[in-house]
Amino acid sequence: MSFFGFGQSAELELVLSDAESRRRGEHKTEEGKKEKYFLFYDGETVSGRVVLTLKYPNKRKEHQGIKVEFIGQIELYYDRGNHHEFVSLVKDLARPGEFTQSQTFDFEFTHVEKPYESYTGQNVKLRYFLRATVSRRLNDVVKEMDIVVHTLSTYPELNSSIKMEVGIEDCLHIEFEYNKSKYHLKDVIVGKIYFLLVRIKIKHMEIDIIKRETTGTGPNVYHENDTIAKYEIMDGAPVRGESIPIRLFLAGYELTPTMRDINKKFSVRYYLNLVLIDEEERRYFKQQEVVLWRKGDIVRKSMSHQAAIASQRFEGTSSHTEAKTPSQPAENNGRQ
Amino acid sequence: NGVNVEGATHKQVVDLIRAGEKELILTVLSVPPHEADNLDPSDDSLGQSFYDYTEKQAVPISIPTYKHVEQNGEKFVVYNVYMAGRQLCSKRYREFAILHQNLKREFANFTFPRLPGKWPFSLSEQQLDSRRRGLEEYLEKVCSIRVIGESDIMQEFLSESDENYNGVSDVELRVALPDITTVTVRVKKNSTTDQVYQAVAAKVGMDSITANYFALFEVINHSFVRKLAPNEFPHKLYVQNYTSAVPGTCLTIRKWLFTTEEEVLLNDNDLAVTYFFHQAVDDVKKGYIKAEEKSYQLQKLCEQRKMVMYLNMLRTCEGYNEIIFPHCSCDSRRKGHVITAISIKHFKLHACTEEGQLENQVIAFEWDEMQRWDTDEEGMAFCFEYARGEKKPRWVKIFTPYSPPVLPPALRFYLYPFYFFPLVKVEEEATDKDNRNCSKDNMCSKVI
Repeated sequence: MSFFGFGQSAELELVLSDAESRRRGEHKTEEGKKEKYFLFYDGETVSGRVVLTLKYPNKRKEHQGIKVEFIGQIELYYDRGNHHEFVSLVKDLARPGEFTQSQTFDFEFTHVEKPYESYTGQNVKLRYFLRATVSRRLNDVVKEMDIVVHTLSTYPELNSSIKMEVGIEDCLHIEFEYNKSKYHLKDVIVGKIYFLLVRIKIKHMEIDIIKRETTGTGPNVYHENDTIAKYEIMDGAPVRGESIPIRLFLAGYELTPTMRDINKKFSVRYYLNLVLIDEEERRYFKQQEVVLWRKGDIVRKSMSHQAAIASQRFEGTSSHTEAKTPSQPAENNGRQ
Repeated sequence: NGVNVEGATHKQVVDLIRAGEKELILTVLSVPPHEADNLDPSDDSLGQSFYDYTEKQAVPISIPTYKHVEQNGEKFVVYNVYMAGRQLCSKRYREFAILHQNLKREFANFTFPRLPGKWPFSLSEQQLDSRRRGLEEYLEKVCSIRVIGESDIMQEFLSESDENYNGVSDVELRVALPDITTVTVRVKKNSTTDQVYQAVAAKVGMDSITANYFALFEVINHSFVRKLAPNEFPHKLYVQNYTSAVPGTCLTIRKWLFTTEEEVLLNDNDLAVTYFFHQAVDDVKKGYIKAEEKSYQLQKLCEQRKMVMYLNMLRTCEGYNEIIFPHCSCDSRRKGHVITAISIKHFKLHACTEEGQLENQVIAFEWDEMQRWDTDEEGMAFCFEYARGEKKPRWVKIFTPYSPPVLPPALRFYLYPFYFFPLVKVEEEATDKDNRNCSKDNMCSKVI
């Protein structure tokens, strides 16, 4: 805000080159609102243009340079002054000089590393954004555009089930089992609770999904526990020998992948908390960490892509071979 | 109720609430979110040691005194470590230094406070006192971090001497007496029940005959006391059980006598009579002895302190010389509980509600009807077999009581440590600290 220089007489806009085709992902803002941002993955190129619009063309405007940056940073809410940038790329668009008219500057950040997933939590935020800056003597003109990054994983090689016998000596012994230890975000938790010994009067049993966000290090560690879900799996008193099934669909809940010690600044971990409540409101619980991961539905894209490649390969061959190509997508289906 | 419970154990708070009976005034202090208690059980399955140093607790640990000792020709100083006014252990400086080293190794990423420095020469009294204060500050700071205060290293340091001072140091135990006074005895820390009892008997001037009819008990709560087994260590209980049922201690002397005839023989023993009298008055107040139509007369005798007459009259009432156990479930009742009462005459089961309120039905087993008794393999029940007349012998199983206080819902969650029980791997030792009421020793160890 100044009387001299650009002030409101100039506007910056950031436009992605693939704005039409690129998917958007939903992401909650710090205030809790759900917004849509362009979705990127690790290694993808970020390209576009910076559009500088002057309100009063033909009026000379001095500047100290124009640049565009791609930044990935971690912000701790209790320490806002210090942004921890783990990705920082710059492209200079113009040398110091003058403007007389509106201009457009193209930029491309090739194969940008985006090692972590975007995250907005209770005490910490990890975000990626483009920032275009027109430097001036008094006040810079800045425009930011947030993007959202998802980290994808493939089916883990090792994914053992969780099976344990726990209890309180002489009061309650149960054996619980969850079919996996690592679940993707649209997965189903399948398992069971088997009662070996019941000497207390149980009223009901539930499974809670707890998200624990840990920020800080050393003596200044903060934990934020958030119960994402409470799901009742049994109502009534069980007896010895009874087995209660578990079937919990994760897709219905707001979950992120497990994030471990991100840039040594924070972690987001998930726990399944099995809770038994007796008639006097006492709670018996067993917490168990589960690893959540994001499965890419890129498979669908590459399926059609593969089908396209396949049809190209068989182009010009006999019709009987062409008839084969439709079976290829089906093969991929089986793999998924 | 006006008592600051910062850093108190859940058991202490529960006992305080019980002591207030029908009234409770809670003053809640807010703390910043990062200090608020988390429901954080130590999860074995996480597989990596991750210490949370933000969980703090106020620990009433102090080092009020030090003492010059000589052992094996060596002269040195030991510092007496106290917890809530009770002596825990005595340690010399080098034991503190070793503790500090061990703690630093285990909690490598924690910034420890400084330990008072080494000094190769002998210290003046002023220097010793300064060192005492420094060590006290160190312990207080270090124990205030929950994960360190509760660690094995710290618990071991606080419980025993690393180095044997030839029989272990002395401790002072306060013991309550039936006449509502207390006595303090000085004994070795590892003294057994018998040794502590002898010390108490000597201190109060009990002769050997009288001493046969009393014993050392642990006060569990307002309604139950437990006789200590001969091989127990009273000091251990003394520093762990902070019941408010008796002020300042959990140890008490009580009558241990079933034969009324023998009791009468002690009528000329003033001390014995005083103790019998006070205990009887207390038992009447608690409802264990049913005075009923004699209430008024007994009341008068009590006021006039006519102890022998009071006792003579009370002995004819029901419930005299009976050991009463907390109510619990029994396999011969589908609903409701039983209260077990053992006396010279019979083994009685009183029917009661699940809350312990007496109901009408009483079953009394004569001792010659009781064939055998046992505790079941898992130790959670007491079984006995009885035979009545021509009928087949029958087994009855009584389940060890499991009755926490009945609290309004809001308070239950406030006292969450008591109401949230982590389920642990079954092979491990169950951390059953909250259920000290349920020890096997609940049962009368002197069944006739």
